[in-house]
Order: sequence, then structure tokens, then C-alpha cells
Amino acid sequence: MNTNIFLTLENGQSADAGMLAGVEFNTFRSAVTTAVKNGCRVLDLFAEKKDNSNIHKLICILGDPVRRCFKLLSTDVGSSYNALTPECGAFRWFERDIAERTGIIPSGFEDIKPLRFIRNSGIHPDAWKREEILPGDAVCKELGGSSAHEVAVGPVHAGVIEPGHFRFQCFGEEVHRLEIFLGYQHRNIEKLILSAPNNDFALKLIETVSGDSSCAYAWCFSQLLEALSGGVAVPPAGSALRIISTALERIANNTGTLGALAGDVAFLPTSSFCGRIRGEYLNLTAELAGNRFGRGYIVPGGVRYGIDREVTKKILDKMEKVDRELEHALKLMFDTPSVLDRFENLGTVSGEDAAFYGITGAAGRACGLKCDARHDFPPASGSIEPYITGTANAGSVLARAQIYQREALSATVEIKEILNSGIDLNSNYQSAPAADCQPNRIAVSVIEAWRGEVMQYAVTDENGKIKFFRCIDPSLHNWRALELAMRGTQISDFPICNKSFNLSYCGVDL
Amino acid sequence: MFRALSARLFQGYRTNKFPAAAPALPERFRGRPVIAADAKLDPSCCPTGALGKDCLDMGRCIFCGNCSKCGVVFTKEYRLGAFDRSSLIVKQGEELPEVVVKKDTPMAKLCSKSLKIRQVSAGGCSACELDFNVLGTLAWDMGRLGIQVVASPRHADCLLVTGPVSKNMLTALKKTYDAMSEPKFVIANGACAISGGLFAGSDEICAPLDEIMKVDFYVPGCPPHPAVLLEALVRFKGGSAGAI
Ligand code: SF4
Ligand code: SF4
Repeated sequence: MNTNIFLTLENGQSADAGMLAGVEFNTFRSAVTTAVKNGCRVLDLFAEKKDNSNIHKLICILGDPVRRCFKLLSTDVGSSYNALTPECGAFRWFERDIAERTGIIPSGFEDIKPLRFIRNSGIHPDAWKREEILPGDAVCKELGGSSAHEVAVGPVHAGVIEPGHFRFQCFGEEVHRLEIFLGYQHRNIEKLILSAPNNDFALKLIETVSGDSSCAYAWCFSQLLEALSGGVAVPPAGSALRIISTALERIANNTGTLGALAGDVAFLPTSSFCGRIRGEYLNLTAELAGNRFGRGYIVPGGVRYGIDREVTKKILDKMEKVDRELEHALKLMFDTPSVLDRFENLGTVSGEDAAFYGITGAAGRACGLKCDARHDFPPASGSIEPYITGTANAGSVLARAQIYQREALSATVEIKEILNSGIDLNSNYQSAPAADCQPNRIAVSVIEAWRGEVMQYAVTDENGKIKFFRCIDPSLHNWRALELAMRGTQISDFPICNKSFNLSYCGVDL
Repeated sequence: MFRALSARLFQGYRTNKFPAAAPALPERFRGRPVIAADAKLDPSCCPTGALGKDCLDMGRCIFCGNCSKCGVVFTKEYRLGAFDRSSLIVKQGEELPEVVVKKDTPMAKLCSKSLKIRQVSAGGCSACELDFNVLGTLAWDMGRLGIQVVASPRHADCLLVTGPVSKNMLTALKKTYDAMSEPKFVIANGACAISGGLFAGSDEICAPLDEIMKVDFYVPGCPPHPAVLLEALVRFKGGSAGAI
């Protein structure tokens, strides 16, 4: 197999858009599936309509963790093509997306369902020949027999949480199968980004794809713009502050997730400590950015504000104390047998399933996969050697919780190391404002957010304006893992299992 | 048991002093904007259309600070919640206004001691929900002020809506509202719910919320800082809270 048919790009590097090769479909299919079986990650698969024709260009973006680069390939398809999902489960949600947006039916993908229940996709008739498109309206395969029943939950849930619809096929209390329906948060961000009058406004939109990962999203988009404008060198202080803000985001979210897990098993001490401690880290982000979610902080060329010695010391002093409190609150929980008993062997996803379905980020690492964009696809702005925090093998709620714990604590070390390194963070944190994007360029940008890798892809037109844009939240890869994790558990296990992934709804819904 | 108790001692009492004392806000916090009389505003720098030639609409503002370049000054005033939409307009040359306290609204009469909130997230980016959730943690502990989140709309006095009301959430939102018993109140929380915020131009959303249902209180921000929201909730139910 000739592997050179792919267009190869490094993280934050751009190429002439014409370099993306189109090959014949069978060649495409076998090249892509072979690469995935040999260890490449599926980052994206989508269809782009060719002007004035019924032909779509199918484009696949893979990540090669060994060569630390991205591989792109394209092919043309008509109204149907031989689905990739049966061979590589990682394409599952992407092919649902393709069917929904284009009406193309990937044949051999049994039981394909819409992904977001988008109303005005403009496709008539759509892939399901729906008269009316209603969110969550899809037929689930039901179980037969008198003790089988279906439980439907959401979109509005009991707590303060985003909307989503879960349908469980149960046998008594036991969950036989779960299907997840999203799209309730769909606000058409991709379209808004394309119509944004300038890249600064687009950046503001990007930060709200998934509001708990704003820093990672902003970093990813800034890197994309830097690539499209021909490469912008981010000065060391800017790079360091990007790492710090994204690490703070990781600590805050991991802490919140662990606290919520403690709450779900009624271990109130850790639940309440973590709730408070999470806020302390958000407050540190606000010291940098003026906003607790880091909105507006990371910009093309670096970051918006530096920090002087006084603020550096303030952050270090605060972290000195809060880091210990965090460590203590988590240790308390992980030393409690009743909690461990509840987390252990629950919501397990096997390593094989995780690999087959392309589970990513913290959840993937908890299944033993070595996937971490900080290591596999290091950011173009250079980074201090990323921390790989190891993988746990069980794939259970406990394994995920342990990964969150380790990564939160190692992120605290990472931040303090940078702050103590003596690097001047108060000058030269942003290089000159980036030039406009160059015409007819194509680029891929990936940043490891706290859940997993965020991927963005853009193509510019002949005026250097972004004409095509894709944005993939790690949750799009991982919702499938929750469906699998629930099999054989009890419905009452759902809150803990769901929380242990803590996936984004809006990040998928766009 | 002993471990839990000693852990409690180590972690200490951490509920902040607000509303008895002003909340600790970050140095770079962007609160209520003021516009100097001689400032020359440049609406084109604003991503949401909040900035006009001589005014700024906090209901659309995401407090990004872009307009600092053209003379808008962000103060530390965090008491941003308002009883009506028009109070969210900041006019050029205007000083910081007195914070409006109303003790005779229906909400104040019914909910001053106990306010039960059902939150619905309708589109948006989830940060508004996250910072509302924060009020339940022991750092803010809104329970001590008689404010509680309830699961069932039937138990709720008030619906707190976040997000620009995506088309896919419209039915669920309306059904939740319909399931509440009278009298019922609605709070629009965040730029998205108030005006559509960053998503105002999308064809997939239904905001502003007050065109869908009657809104009794508005809390600007993207997302509103927990101090902004808690102060707003206290004032919503007839109290007055905190100082600068
Ligand atoms: S701070 Fe508000 S008014 Fe100013 S530019 Fe940003 S969104 Fe517009
Ligand atoms: S107002 Fe801002 S923070 Fe709140 S949901 Fe909308 S985009 Fe997110």
C-alpha cells in the first residue's frame, strides 16, 4: 500500500489547498482504514459539496502519533458509498453527521441515526425521509419480551446541566443498551464563524463551542490562524502563558468532575471541598484573563495580557495552599473503601473497544490507550515538554477518576515550574498582530483540552478568508464510550458513569 | 468518621462573606461599563452589536473589553442585574447609577425567604450553567440565603434560563415553563438568553427570551460572574446585597 498518497501536515502548519489529493474511492477506503488499523487516530471525516453537482468530496483527517503529523486524503462520492464504520468504529458519529448534513447514505452502516437533528439542513428528502424533524425523534431497536422496557431521560434533566436525550433499553433494572441523542444545543456555530466579519469575532465564537474548554479552543483556533497566515512565531512568554491558562482549565474541570463523582456516591466531604477548590482555580484564570473561563485570553501570536512579578507571586502563593488542599481532598476520597468499591469495575470500556471506537483523551488513557495530543502532536508554538501522566488499564469509573486526579495534580506542578522558572511573563507575550490569512491554504490544528484533543480544520478562499471550517470536540469521539460503558450496568449507575466521562453536549451540537 | 472530621478541620470554613461584605473580584474583572462624554465610540469593534454610537447594551455585551480601546471603561460595579430590559442600556456620559432595589414586587412578596429555582439550559456554551452551579458550592452557598435549585418545575417559583434558546430546545423549554404552577417568574441569565449574545445572528435560535415568555429579571454577562448572579438573585427576591 502506498502510504504517500496522503497529504502530510504538522500541527499548526499549512499547505496549498490544491495539495489535498483526491483518489478513487476504493483506494481511499483501504488507505484510510489500513492507516487506522496501524495506529492512526481518526480526527475527522466529512463531506463537502462540490459546486453545482451531486458529487461530494469526502475528506478524512487522521493523526499519526508515531510520525507526529496529520494525514489527509479525499475522494469523490455520489449518493451512497461503502461505509467505513463497520471496519473502523471511530467513524461512527462522523458518518451519522455526513448522512444528516448531505443525505448521502453510507451503505452497510446498519441502524444509522441522525446526530444533531438539524432542521434546515436543506436536504429533501433527507436520509431518513423525515416529514418533520424533531429533536431526539429516532426509532430505537427495542428489546422483546415482557420484562423488557424502555426508559427515556431528558432533554431537561434533574440538575443544572446541559440538555441531551438518553434512551435505555432495559431488562428489569439492567441496562441492555443505551442510545444517546444530542443536538439540543445546536446553534450553528460553524456557519456563524464563516460569516464572522473578522477573525477576532470568530475567535470569540470559538470560545463558546464548549464553554468549559475555552482556553484550549482559543489556543487551537489561534494556532490555526497562525498557520494560515504563513507561520507566526509565538514568543516564549506567550507560549508559557498559553500552557498555564490551559493547565488551569484542566485542573478546574478535573477537580469539578471528581467533586461531582464524589457527590454522586454521596461522599460529601470531597464533593464540597472540590466544589470550592475548583472555584479557586477559576479565580486564578480570572487573574490572568479577567474572566473565569479565560475568555479573550489566548489570541493569535500569543496571549492578551502578561503577568508581572507581583501577580506571579500572588498566583504561586495561592497555589501553594490550594494545591495542598486539592491533593488532600482527593486523597481523602481515594482512601475511602466505600467510594472505591462503588467506582471499581463499574462502567467499564475494554481497551479493544476503546481503540476500535477511537475513544480519546483522558477517557481513552483510562482504557490504556496512549493518546495524548500534548505528546503526539505538540503545539507549533513549542511547548515545555508535555507531561504524560500515564494510563490506567481498567477502563472503569475508577480508572477515569484516577486519570483526572493524576492529571490535575501534574498540571499544578507544570504551572508552578513555569512560574518559578524565572521567565519574564510580563513582556513579549504577543508577537506583532498576525497578518491576514493567505489565500487558498489548508491547515489542521490540534490542542489537547482537559477531555481530549480539540481539532480544527480550515480552508481559505482566494481572498484569504476562511471558506470552510470544521471543529471537533473530543466528546464527539467519546459519547460512544458512555453508550458502551452502560451496557450491563443498572440505570441507577448512570449518573456516576455519565459524570466519569463528563462529556460536552454543546461541543458536539455546535 | 475521624478522618472526615480532621479533613474538615484541615480544609477550614470557606464560605465567603458576601453578601455582608463585598465579594473579592479579580483585578482584571470587567463590571458595569461607563462611557466618557467625550469618547468616540467605534461600534465596529464589537462582536455582538452591543456597542452603539453613544450607548452600550449590556444585554448583548459579552464583556470582552474590545471597546476599551475606544473609550469604554469597565468599572468594578458587579451589581448588574435589572428588573427591565431598558435598564441594561448604558448611555454615554452617564455616571454609575444607583442600584435598583424593589421590595414590593410579586417576587419579593412571595419569595423573599425562600426561592426555588428550576434551571433550563437552552443552547449556549454551558459556562452559564457552570457558574450558576458554583453558587451551590460551599464557597457561595446560596442555600443560606434561602435560594435552592429544584428538579421538578412543579416545585419551582422561578425559571432561570441560560442559552439563546436553540430551536431544538424551544419545545422542552416551553413545556417546562407550562409545568410550573402560578405565580411563576422567569430570569434571563447571560447575554445569550437576554439577546442571543454571540449567537444572535444564527438561524437556529429563538432568543431573545422575552419574546418567548415574560421575563421578570435580567442578569447580563458571558457568563455572569457568580457574584453578579448571586447579588442579582438576592435583589430579585426583594433584598439588597453587598457593596462595592
Ligand atoms: S465589551 Fe461588550 S460592548 Fe464592548 S466590544 Fe465587547 S461585547 Fe461589545
Ligand atoms: S451567555 Fe456566554 S457564557 Fe452564557 S451560555 Fe451564552 S455564550 Fe455561554
